[in-house]
Amino acid sequence: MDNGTFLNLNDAYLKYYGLRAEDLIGHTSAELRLPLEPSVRPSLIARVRKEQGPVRNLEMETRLPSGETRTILASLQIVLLDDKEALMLTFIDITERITKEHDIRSAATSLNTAEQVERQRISRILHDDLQQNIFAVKLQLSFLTNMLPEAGGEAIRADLQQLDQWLTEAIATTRQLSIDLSPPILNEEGFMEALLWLASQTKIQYHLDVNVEWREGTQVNLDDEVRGIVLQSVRELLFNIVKHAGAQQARIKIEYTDSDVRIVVSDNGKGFDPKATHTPISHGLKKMRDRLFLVGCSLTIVSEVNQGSRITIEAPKADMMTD
Amino acid sequence: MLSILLVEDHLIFAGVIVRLLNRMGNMQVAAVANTAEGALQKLSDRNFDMVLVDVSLPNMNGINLVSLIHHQYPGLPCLMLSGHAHTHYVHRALTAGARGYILKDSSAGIIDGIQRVLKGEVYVSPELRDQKISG
Repeated sequence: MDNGTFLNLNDAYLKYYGLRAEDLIGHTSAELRLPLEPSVRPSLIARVRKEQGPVRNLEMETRLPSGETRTILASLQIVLLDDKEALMLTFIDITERITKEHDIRSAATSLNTAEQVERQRISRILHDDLQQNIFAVKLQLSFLTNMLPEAGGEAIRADLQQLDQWLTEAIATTRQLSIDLSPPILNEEGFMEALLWLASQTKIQYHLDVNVEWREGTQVNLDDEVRGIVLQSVRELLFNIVKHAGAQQARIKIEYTDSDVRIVVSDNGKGFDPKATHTPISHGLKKMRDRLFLVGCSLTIVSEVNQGSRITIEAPKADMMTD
Repeated sequence: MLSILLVEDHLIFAGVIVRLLNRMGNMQVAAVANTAEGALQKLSDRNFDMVLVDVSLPNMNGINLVSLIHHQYPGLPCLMLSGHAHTHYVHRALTAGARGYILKDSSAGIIDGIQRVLKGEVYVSPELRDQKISG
């Protein structure tokens, strides 16, 4: 155990590395750089000793004699062989699974991105084309109204005013639709400005007070994909509070670690049981968690009935993103 | 006669605004630019008494244009025209140096805004004045 000498191996191990027993037995792990890099071994042994039992499901990398790097899921435990301590390593190769997970994640992220792009496109058409045309019609209508004689044009004036009112309603509808699809601010502005806007919109639309807390002067640096999904999730969480929580107040707090940004959305509403399944809240939060997971984020839910809720999104900072 | 530069990329809306303002009698849209870059070119060619600027423009947006105009032509009032009913844009526009922010919905609001800004006031469409950003 101390010097990493290979004592015994099974056929699967020999086949995996394409070696013969005599290539390994009596040689050390450090000498052969198998199955792991020498630098990793001391910390693993320390961990196994500390656990005082098997250590399971360690995801690690191993290098084949060909030079190819593979990912393995390993278990380690200390056993006695001829009254001497030995380290027993068992593992399965999960390289294909990791690759497929990565492919699925990439595909899902691409779909998400495509959906966001399409929403932005439609939102832009609503604002840049349809709405501008309606503004022009409304102004043109005001010309006609002003051209009516003071006396004798009352009936027409009333009709024109009704048209003006309908156009006002049409403008309000297109504005709201444009915001619902893809608020420009969420795409164009900084992350903090976008959060402040979400808070402001929630107050205006739903009369819920939302306080946003963060350390002054801080810049939140997230990858574009992560940023989009995080903002969408915060928006959804605020809407959930409005719809389900019956809260008077909500709070968005931004916290930082060395590698992550933490966005905590909390309220003083009626809370819920996070373990309950098949409820609208649970379905929605599960989908949110899945979307966030696909871009490397996590979602933690803390809530109790009548105790409010606290939901935390953890997102990796842009320079911390890895494939 | 008040000389106005209109910066608006939506041609139909621009045409209606030109008609609206030219009918007032005491003002005239002397030039229309469809982009921020075009507006800067026109400003270098002649003098204007006021600039009306759409927030959403291709390439450089209207707020950035206002910021540039404010630095290059400090005495020239800029008034933002917008379909965006967000106080966020109002705040950004006024910070950039705009003298007002008017929603495109109302002809009376546009005329009122121009006249008040010419008097030296800062004008924001009434619908946006009562909204505050919390947090």
